[in-house]
Amino acid sequence: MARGTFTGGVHPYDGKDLSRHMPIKTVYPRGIVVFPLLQHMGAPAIPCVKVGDPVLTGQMIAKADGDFSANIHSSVSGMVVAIRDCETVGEKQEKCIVISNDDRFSEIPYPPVRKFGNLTPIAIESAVRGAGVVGMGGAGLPTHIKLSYEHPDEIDYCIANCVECEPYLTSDYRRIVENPAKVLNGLRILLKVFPKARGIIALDESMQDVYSELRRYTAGDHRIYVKKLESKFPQGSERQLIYALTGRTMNSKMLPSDIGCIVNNVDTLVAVNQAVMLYEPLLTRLITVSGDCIARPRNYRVRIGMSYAELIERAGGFSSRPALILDGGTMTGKRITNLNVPITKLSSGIIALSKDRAAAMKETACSRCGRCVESCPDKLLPITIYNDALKGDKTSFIKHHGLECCNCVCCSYICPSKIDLADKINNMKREILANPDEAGDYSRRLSYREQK
Amino acid sequence: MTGTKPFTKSSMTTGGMMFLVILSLLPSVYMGVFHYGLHAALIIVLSTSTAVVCELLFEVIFRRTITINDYSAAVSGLILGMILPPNVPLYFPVVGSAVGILAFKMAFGGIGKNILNPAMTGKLLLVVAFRSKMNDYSCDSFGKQTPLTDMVNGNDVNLVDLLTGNTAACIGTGCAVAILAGAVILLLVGIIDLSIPIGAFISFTILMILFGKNGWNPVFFAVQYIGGSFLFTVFFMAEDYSTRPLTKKGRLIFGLIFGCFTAVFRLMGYVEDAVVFALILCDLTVVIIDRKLLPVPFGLIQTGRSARKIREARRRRERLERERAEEKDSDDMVWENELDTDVLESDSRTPEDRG
Repeated sequence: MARGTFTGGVHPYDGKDLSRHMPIKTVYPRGIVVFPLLQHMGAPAIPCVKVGDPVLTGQMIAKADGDFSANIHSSVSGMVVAIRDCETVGEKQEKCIVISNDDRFSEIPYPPVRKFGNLTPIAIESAVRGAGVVGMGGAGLPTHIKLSYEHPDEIDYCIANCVECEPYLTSDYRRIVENPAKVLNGLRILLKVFPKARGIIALDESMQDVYSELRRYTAGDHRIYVKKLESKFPQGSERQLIYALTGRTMNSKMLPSDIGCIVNNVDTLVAVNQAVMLYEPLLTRLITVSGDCIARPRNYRVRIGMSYAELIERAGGFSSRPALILDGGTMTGKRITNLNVPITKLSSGIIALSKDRAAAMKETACSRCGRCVESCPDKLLPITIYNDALKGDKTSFIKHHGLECCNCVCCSYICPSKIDLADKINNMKREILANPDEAGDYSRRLSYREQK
Repeated sequence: MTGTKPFTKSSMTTGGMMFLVILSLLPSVYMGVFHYGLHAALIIVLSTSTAVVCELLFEVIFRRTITINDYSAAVSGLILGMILPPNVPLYFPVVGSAVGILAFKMAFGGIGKNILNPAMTGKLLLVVAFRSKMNDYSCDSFGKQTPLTDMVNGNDVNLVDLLTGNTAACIGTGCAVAILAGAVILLLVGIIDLSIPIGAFISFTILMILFGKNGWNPVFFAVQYIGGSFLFTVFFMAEDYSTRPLTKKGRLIFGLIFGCFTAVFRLMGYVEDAVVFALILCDLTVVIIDRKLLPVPFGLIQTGRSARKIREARRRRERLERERAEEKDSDDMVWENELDTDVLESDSRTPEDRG
């Protein structure tokens, strides 16, 4: 049943040793805190405070716009000073709520903690919906959508994703080292929603210490399993993870629930635990601050809305001038040019590197070595699809299954000619998906993927 | 400055790969020069330098990007020098290299776009033009004929000499030990894989057993494999990136076709030139193989079988759960007591180290 890995994939330098041994440290923002209204996949939230309103920590400041959206809560107490367009990660302008922090962090009153035995699926779903929990593995799908699947009996596996294949990031590892009970409880809460599911905690093979500890914790629980998977990129990607754990395959037209699986990041599970047991909204995020230009690399528990510049300053600043600052890891991250952008629910790390390796490498002609074909976890022919995209030939792009590409960028990483295959393929894919007639069955999943 | 992911790339470059190929060819070059002397060395130097100079000139004249620093021209020239007999006139490597690179590589658009192997087309031209000269392997103490031709004519062959290259042969293809050493280097650094050799050896062996009139005779097969550049062509020339199929399955088929063609040409009587014709014909099939043999993407086909498997697993698990429930009544509260206070601790509300 369990395969432990998938075919294809690459082994980039992971740099996890920089930050994985340091305990999580909490930092609190000072001054201005900014909350973008779009911190998830789907429609932006609608503000429910006005300029000049006083707010408390944990108070809802923006309400979900329909089902495919998520609530946003203030992570500090203070006053709303503006609702205006601000720059966010990726040089985008987005509508944000700006709150000036009074540095007291006065909280809204919380009800007494819930009893686990009294939980019902409806109570769990509404608690998660109210707390504005979103998938924190990167995509940011609001978690209540996963929980409100119409046939809960058909879910066979509820997977806690702690594989963290992205280079440099160690926040999931620190999370499961420091709060294993919260992760387990979050998983048990999800298992209440899906009565026939088994829980699987998927770990990377380098997390041996956690593996034995979790095996001990779950020894008496026949519904929860702990599995180790090979260290390989993109092992933590949904499709590859499900295949490695259960042997079930899915394509770009499908959602994990079609094959009876629900995948959640461990950080999401902790947020679910907090939301359900304590009524606590999603206010903080674990951020890995790492890279060879960071003076003291480690993981920080950061209030959402704090700016990257402030976080780096509080983390000890740069040890040398960075050539490349990334939001996220080196494989799927985004370049940051302006550090005065807020941390959102989707941020996972900030990596400052002294060398921009990819930019220094010049693109040469393809020698048809076939490495992209071997590394493609989707078993595509990246170079053929790339050539179709270069020609703008949509028919053969679709014929060569270009829409199946999961944008894992393995081909761009491995290419000896340093061709940016993934970028070109992704652009072509976006162009085709913009037109639902051409996209056909694929529009179902990919249409909201693009809103990332 | 790139704005797109990934922000890290593997350190392997095209030039690096071609450099490793040159390194793996060096043992064979050394053995060739060791056995056949300075003239052989001169042939290799001339063919290599002609290939590089031709590519450079072409790119300068037609104002293309200069690509000689990826060493692919040097590899083509080096290989052409190695598959020539040791005593050919010195204008042979020059003509072969120039035609191979200019007409069959650069005219198609450079590296990765040529459909025929430039070194092999260079040799093909020489074989067609100077058949007798290209089949004269006499050099120093070695006779005119290679062991393979000797065996076909019914003479005895010394196997040890065949392994060490102490026989009449093309410059780089005589010594089986050196070729295998180079192949092992390439396999270890991941530049080639075994799909083409496996395919080639399977089909070649089967056809030779059926029609070779020698049955299982191991000496016959050793000479057939090592002699006539078969080993060298399989490991170094058929694995040429530009002219091999993209997928592993395609490469296996390519290998099978190559083995078939070689066996057929050898049985037809083209002893030393069989691999030349076979490889050129095989290169022509690559386009078709690549077009027809598309791999099935991951999870694209959701068969009834996989759906049934999911259903069966579900049923099995339900049975298991029922059995467990009969054994002991499951109690949700059991583990709640054993958990520490962590679960009910706030994740964001602890203002302990604020400041």
